[in-house]
Amino acid sequence: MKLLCFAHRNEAKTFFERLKLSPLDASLKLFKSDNAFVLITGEGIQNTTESLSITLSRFNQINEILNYGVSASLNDTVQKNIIFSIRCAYQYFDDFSFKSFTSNDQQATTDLVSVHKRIYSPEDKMNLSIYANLLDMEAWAIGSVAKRFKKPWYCYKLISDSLHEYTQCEKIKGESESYSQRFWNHFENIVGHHEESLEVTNLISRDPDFHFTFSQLHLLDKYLQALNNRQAGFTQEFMSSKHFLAIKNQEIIKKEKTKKLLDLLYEKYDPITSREISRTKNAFNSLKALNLNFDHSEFIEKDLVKFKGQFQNNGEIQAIINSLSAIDLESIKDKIRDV
Amino acid sequence: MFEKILVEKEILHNQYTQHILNKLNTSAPIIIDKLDNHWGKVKKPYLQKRTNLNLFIGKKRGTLVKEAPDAYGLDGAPHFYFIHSYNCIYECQYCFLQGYFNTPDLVLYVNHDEIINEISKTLQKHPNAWFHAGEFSDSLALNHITNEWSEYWQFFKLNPKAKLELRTKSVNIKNILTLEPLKNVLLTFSLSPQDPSKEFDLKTPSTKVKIKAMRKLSDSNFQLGVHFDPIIYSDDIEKNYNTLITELLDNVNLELINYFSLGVVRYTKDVYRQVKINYPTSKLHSHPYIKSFDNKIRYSKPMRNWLLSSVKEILLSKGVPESKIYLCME
Repeated sequence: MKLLCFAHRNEAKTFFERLKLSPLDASLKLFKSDNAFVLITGEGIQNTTESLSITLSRFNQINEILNYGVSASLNDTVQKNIIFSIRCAYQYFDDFSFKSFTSNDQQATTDLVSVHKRIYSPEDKMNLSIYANLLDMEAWAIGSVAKRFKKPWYCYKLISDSLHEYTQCEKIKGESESYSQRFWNHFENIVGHHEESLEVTNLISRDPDFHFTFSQLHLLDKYLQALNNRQAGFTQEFMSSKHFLAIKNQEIIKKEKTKKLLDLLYEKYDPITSREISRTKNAFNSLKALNLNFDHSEFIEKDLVKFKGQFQNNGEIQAIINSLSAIDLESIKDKIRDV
Repeated sequence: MFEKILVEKEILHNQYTQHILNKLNTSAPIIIDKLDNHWGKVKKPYLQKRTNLNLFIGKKRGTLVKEAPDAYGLDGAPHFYFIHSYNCIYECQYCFLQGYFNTPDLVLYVNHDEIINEISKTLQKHPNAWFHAGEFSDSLALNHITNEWSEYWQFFKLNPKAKLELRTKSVNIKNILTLEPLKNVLLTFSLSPQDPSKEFDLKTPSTKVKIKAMRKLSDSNFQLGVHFDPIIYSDDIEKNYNTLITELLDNVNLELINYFSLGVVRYTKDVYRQVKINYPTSKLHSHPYIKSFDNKIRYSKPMRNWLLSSVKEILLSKGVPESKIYLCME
């Protein structure tokens, strides 16, 4: 569900009329309709941080945050009375904060600085305009809290006036109702684009002939994502392949089928490494008779072999030394890597 | 080209600063105290470079010439790099710059006299040293605006034992062609086969055009080098490199190509995180990576070995001597 954030109630006036909102928490100024929450954050970074944090921690059904508000322009060439989608929000409080937050609108190209207090001096304006063309008092806080809660966020700012006029708060307040109508029109236009994309159906994991543990599901997802990226429609094609069907129809328990299936997918995912892993296994299997418990998991990347053994007397030590001396590691490497 | 141009007060009257401002038709740049007070001071999204790229012109301070990492360049000689610029106008999807600096904004340093002075000092200790430009930027992409290389040319002409490498993905060679070819100055090109280049090396000239530029340099007897780096896996990689190498050697005099450096795509953890953010659906992610021996994110060792040996075999089959091939960062 969407959460719409406004600094001032007047900016949200049309939303109150259209969405049939009812209050959820008067102290928070949080309201809810059937399909959206509306939060009046109050002005400023601290107010916004506090109210948004409390809201997100209480209502985990919120999956997306949209901020609407008025912004001043730091650059006279920026067009007024247009709603800009914000790309990146910076923060200025006597100096710039290193952290900035990038919204989830990948098409946005306008940046903004959130300030803690109203800006009056031309020097400040000059300094801020190096980083962004717009100025507000909330967007950075929205980005910051959204990131903390891992929620996508979008920010839309209407340029009321240039910085000089921005300081004339009363004028802005007087016009906020008409801004609200503009925000509503914008919201209605974009709402379709923000609908959650359907989760890519993982057809294989739903096949009742297999049983995936959590970590196996993670592997399956990793392999399929890469293979579908390499070749569109891979999953569907793979599921009708004879290799897949052969595993699916084997008379073995689901757990074993799943393991075989993942091995097969890994071969497709990384054929060259898969071949070398298989050769390495074979090479070290042939050393089983030495009764040393070899761990060759780091052999492929680092040429490193670990082993575990035990001894109780000199004779057993000598036996281990003899066993190890009999291994010709260089020839094993050559065999494994003979392309 | 640039949204804002910001110049450090101290070097406003430097000849290169004036040249750059003139070329960019900027009479009133924003004057700043020190570059470090602004550039990289806040985290800026990398892809901001597509629409709002700023240019900073400043003075390089601190260490001007740095020792290159191990496995860098041909064996036997010490390698150093110097920094004349930060960031790049191109947008290669695998580029380490997206996770290296906190900003895509470009910096051009103009105190070339001091950089050359430092190179000279380094040469006193290491007379056969190599000096590389283009570690954090493309050496030639903005050369039509910066025009700094003639000063380096003069220095390296007087120091023939030292070597200079200018590494590029551009074809911006007009100014270079007016200079005298020197045995110890190499123009090196990062090349990829045509299709992967189109897909991954955004905004760079096409491979065909790069080879054409190399041909012009070759015809004028400039010393060259080739970087097949990064090599990125694709199903038809052998065919692609075969075509590329054939086309290259059909156009460029092999005698003038000093080396072929081969490297497989790799990232630090931070860079890879940025690549995933900036290019989530890129085909760069189609093949598996692992955290390798040096904690970098790479293909698995068998895959790296296979890729390197495949490209090396193609080079050898086309008559490139083995002594000219080296494996970078492996």
